[in-house]
Amino acid sequence: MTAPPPAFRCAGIYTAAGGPFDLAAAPGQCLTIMGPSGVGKSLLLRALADLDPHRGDVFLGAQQQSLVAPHRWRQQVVYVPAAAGWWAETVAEHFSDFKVLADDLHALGLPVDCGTWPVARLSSGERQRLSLVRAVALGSPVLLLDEPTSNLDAESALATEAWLLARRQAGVTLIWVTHDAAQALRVADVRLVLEHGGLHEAAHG
Amino acid sequence: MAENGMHLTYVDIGLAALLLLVHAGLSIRFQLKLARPLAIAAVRMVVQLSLLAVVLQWLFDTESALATALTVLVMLGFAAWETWRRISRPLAGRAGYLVPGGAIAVAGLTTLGYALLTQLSPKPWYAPRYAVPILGMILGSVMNAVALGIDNLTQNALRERVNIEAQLVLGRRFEDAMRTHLQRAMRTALLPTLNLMAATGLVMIPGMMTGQILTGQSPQEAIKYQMMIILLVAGATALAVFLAVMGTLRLLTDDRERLRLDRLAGERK
Repeated sequence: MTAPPPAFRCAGIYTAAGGPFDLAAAPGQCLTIMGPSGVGKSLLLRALADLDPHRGDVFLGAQQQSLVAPHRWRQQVVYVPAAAGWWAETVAEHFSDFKVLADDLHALGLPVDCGTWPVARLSSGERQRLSLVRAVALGSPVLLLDEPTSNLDAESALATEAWLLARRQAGVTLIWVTHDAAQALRVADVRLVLEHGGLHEAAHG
Repeated sequence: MAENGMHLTYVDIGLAALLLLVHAGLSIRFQLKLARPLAIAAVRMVVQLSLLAVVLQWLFDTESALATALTVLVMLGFAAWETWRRISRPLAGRAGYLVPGGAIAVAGLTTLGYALLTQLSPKPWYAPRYAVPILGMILGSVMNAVALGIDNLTQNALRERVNIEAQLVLGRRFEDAMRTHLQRAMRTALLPTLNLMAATGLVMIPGMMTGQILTGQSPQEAIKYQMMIILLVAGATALAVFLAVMGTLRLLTDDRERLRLDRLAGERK
């Protein structure tokens, strides 16, 4: 019997943009975070992934962020920026096994043979979807998604939403930053708004 | 005029200074606005070297251990400051001086000590006639290499920030994400020394050897000293670059293996 995926929570997090931020998500839950530009949504996600110095602690089940080796933490709590980086020449070099990802590529409308492509050939939308595939391929219990469909057309955005929401069945928790209120309504179990230095539940509607 | 075992007069130096007129002519013809800086640089060079001659003569005559140690300290301090000045985005605060300065000091003193105690064996072992000029030659090359190495590493980290963090967010170790940048920084820093070794004797006759030959030393003897100096410089450069680049890399991260570009000073004005 496999253990249930762990719950994800943070308490009293302070980033460079303010705080304290509190947040809790059950396994398989999708939390959206909205808020004006520059309010610190990305900084909060970066703190959750332990990419920037911050105060307060984050927990994944019984694991406490500050007590887990940083690379082990980031393998479990994966931050996906809107414009992720590519450090090698071709696409497949960024994956441990590109061949097993055909179904995911197909679901996202990406060419299955793009593994041999140079990264420079990819459009910004293709890069964004491939960066999601790259993060999901790690099989991590928590994904921190920073505007994951910001470079996509409406149709591709819907396909990507569906593909991401399907991860929840495996117990993956999604913390999803978006500027699109309609998207938040479509995907969220819990909608939060970051404003006035704190995280609040969004008004219904 | 000089004969064998040359003795230059100040008239000879004045004749050499006439060549600066070429510089001045270029500056006037192409409006380079370099005439004034050129005059200042030439006067500075003359004053600095004249002072150096006085200080060295005094140092050689007294042969004091304390005076030699103080001279070495001053040389290391200037080397650290000059290296820091050449790095466009050094580490902020004291680390900006201490990392390159520490690397240069450790490499320079280790190599100098090695040369004095094993190859040269002067009496006393710290004889300033040997210690000061040799350290000067070592520092000249090491400063350049350390500045190149640190500058390359920090510039690459700044430019490639997104790509480095893309690896960190996927759970790669910081040292793995930085490996290619570390290699590039070390290669950039060490290549001039390698090129110098390859070109010496073919394309270029080094200044020290030329000086010795001009003062009457046999080429065979001058070459031996030159070889020793080049090898000492190469060893010191490698050690200093290793220490400086690894030290900078260590301070570009923290105990949570984040990329800490906030630890770099702002762009120089």
